[in-house]
Amino acid sequence: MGDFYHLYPVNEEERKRYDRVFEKELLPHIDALSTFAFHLTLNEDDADDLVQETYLKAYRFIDKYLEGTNAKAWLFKILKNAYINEYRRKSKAPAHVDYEDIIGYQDSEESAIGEYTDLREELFNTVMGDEVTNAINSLPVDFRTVILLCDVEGFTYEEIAKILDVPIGTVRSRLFRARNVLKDKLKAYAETMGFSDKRKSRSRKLEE
Amino acid sequence: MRNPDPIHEYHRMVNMFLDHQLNDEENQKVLHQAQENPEFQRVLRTEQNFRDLIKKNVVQRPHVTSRLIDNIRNKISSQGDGK
Repeated sequence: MGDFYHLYPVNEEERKRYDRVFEKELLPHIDALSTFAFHLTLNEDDADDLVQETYLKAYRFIDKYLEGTNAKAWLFKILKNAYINEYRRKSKAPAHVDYEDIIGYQDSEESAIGEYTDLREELFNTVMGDEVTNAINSLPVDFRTVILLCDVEGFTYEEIAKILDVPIGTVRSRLFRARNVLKDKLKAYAETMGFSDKRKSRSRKLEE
Repeated sequence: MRNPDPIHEYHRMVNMFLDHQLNDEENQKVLHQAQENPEFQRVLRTEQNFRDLIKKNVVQRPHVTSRLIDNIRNKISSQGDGK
């Protein structure tokens, strides 16, 4: 933390303004950042460290933040970069990304217009809350990230693209694939709980 | 290569619809298609349920402790004082 200084000297008036912006616009997002950090690091202590680092960086560069704009997206971007720079690189056991399991994984928009996993509505009664969280946490981090940003935090594609530094088409295709992988996981879980998808046998009977 | 299957295309639109990426006219079209076609209606309902399932069940961490917030404030304050 020794390098924690603003990029240029600030006077007392500026310092007070920065403190006010920090308290009023940045700190209110700490719970959302904390949840996001936890789902990235999968560890309570690492998540707290990541949140703290995010806020220290945010304050250091607070002169780059335009008061009254999208503080939440700005903070999420800082947190994501901090995670990539520090935690992923330093981790002795980096998040396992088994791309062999993700058939045809590509980040092109066009590739998103492929097969999609459909679910039976009954499945939603079978899957338990813990299993949803476990399934999300078992996704490759790139997939986990877009699901959390879009489906949990409600960011737009445009905001997610800015947070992740990727084109909007990539956000769309990544979301599509992430949701399909998640559905496959939930479906597999539901099947172990006795749920069976009878649509195929039913449609075969209809064809006969 | 684009898949010509109308269900796939509708599913793509449903994703955009639920992600608030369509304009008003496109939103109306998605809803109208669901009213007109039971299969489309099922796609829309199932996708909506899937999104709800995620939102309702993803573990939210409890409120951040005042200790962590105080730590952040103290570090900012102490670093600032050292300038």
